[in-house]
Amino acid sequence: MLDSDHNSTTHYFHSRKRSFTVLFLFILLLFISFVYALHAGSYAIPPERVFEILLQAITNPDSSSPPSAEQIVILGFRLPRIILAILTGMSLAVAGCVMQSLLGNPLVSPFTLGLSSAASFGAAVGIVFGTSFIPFIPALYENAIIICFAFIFGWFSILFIYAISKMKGTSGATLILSGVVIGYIFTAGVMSLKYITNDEKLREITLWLMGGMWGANWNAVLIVAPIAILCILWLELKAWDLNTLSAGDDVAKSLGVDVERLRLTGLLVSTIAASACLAFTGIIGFIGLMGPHISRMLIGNDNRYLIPCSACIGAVILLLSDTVARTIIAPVEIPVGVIMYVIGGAFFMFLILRGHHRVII
Amino acid sequence: MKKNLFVTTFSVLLLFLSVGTLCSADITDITFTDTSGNTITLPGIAERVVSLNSDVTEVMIALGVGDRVIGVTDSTLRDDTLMAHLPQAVSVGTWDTPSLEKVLELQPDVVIIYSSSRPKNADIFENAGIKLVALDCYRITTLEDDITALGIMMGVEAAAAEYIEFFNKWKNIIRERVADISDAQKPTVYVEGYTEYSAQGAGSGMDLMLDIAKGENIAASLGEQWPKVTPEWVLMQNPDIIIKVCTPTREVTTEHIWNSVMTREGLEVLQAVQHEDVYIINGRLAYGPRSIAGLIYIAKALHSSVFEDIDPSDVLYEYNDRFVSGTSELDYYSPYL
Repeated sequence: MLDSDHNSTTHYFHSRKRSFTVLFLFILLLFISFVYALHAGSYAIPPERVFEILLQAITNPDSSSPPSAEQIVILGFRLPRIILAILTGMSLAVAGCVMQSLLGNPLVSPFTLGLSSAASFGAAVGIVFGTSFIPFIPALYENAIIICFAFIFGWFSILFIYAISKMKGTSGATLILSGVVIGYIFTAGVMSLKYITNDEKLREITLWLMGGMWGANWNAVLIVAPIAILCILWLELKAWDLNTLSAGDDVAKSLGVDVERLRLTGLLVSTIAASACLAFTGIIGFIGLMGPHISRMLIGNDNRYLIPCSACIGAVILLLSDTVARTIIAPVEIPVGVIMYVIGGAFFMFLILRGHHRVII
Repeated sequence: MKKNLFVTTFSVLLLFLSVGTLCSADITDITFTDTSGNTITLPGIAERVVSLNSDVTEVMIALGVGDRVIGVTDSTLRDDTLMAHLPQAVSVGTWDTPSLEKVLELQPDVVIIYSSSRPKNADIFENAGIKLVALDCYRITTLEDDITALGIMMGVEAAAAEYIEFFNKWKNIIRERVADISDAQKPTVYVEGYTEYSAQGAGSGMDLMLDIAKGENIAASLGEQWPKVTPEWVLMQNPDIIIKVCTPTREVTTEHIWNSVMTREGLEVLQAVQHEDVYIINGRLAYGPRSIAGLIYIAKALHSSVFEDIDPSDVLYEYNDRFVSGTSELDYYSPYL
């Protein structure tokens, strides 16, 4: 008895040490990816000049002299794009991780509940009909029309899920089926809009659906950052409750967890984080699946470490993918969504061929 | 005697029959080459035409045969300027999926399609015996040949020649005036399409116009017709001139778009923005029968001193007065040159 207790404790501390090590390594990898992304691009800037520009921005942010082209490239184009990619990768991966825990299904992602279809429809509405609103809004916010519509319709998916849950409960099967319904309805809407619109707007809708960081600027970062960070922190605080869910709803309830409330609020917060990012980036798939899966293979199912690890992995994957997308055939840019689908397909083929992968339950 | 009479009568009869046969073959059959390079033979000039190409529709109006257009696409139907000249035209659906039933009902002699994009149900039309003719009438480099072919098809070669004379008059003025501009003297130009940083590369309509007007398209070497480029590449290129092609509306005018380009984040360091060498042009002037006016505008934007005495709106007014009325007063470009 004493021996088994000692072994369990030893195993626990080893596991915790391993989790911290993995987490530290991914944070380091994220930092390296960040530095690489800052230097990579069509505009060749020496590394020392990049460092000088960053230092100048930190020490003398209110400089009165007009910015040079190099400063604009680093501070105006690359840096907000990198930060947006990191925030988006983190949000999508954490949202996927939490949703998989809440619904007990390893194949659930932020898009399973119809979020991507609803946001796509919103963006399509903004693209096709948005010019009608332009006389009523300041010129500065014209580009926000598509973003607002994408976010608002993303919210519709949440409201629909909430309404269904009130009527039919919050079981995993009910919520997933609700997501399928939303997906089909809004996909039909997108297809209709694509059919009736002209070629120019059709191309714009297509590009948005492929996903990319083209809309990255400091305004986007200032909006997404607080939403993403607060949502991720809130979900991390719920890590213990999520861990109890893995033992089943009855066990979790007996331990004092309000399972229905946890499931609903967890899904809502996850969707808010994902929706806020997608409004600016378009549809970027697979992060919400790959990030949690890789984390689980490395550190197990303890959500206290799984959530931050998923966040780091998601951020690294998306940041590197975006950097590749804008440099591989520079100056022509590939939508990052294309890169993600290639990586995602390869990753899951690897899982299938390996014949072994962690599941939540 | 009787024998001679018989032979003579028979010969004369034979002669009449031969001439009659030859005449019936020559007078009714017409032959021309469409944009795809196909030789098209029709049993006579086309009297009833369904046009799935709005540029061809406009050219038919310019040639004075708008009343023979009996079917058009939904997008053409929404164009009040063109519809004012198409008294017989009804909708046949979209350019890529026209309604077979409606087209059969209209009993056209020909259906005009784009050469680069056949309708998805084109095979069904051909199997139903409907003649599809590919005529573009939108690229400035093929416009002359397309209009010549259209003139033969409609039996209005004289009207086609008149339009081509108008077109070549202005094109030759441009060619003559830019003849002495060397490659090194060509200003560099970033051409953007409807979406931000969607450049127009080699082979695009604007690229062809820049080639005539002696401008260097910075996206021409990127290997795609419509490459999506990075903002920092545009900064690195630092073009002399920026041209944006757009589709202005009542709410979003060319002037509005000009302001949005001038104030776009990150572009303030570009010399084109600092010198206000930013030009917005309606897509209608980038393609189609009005594109000669667009070419004049671009030439003047690129070489203002060389074209100081020419007003692009003069071309539009001439086009309006001679070919298609109602086309001169639209929002075509900004700033005014």
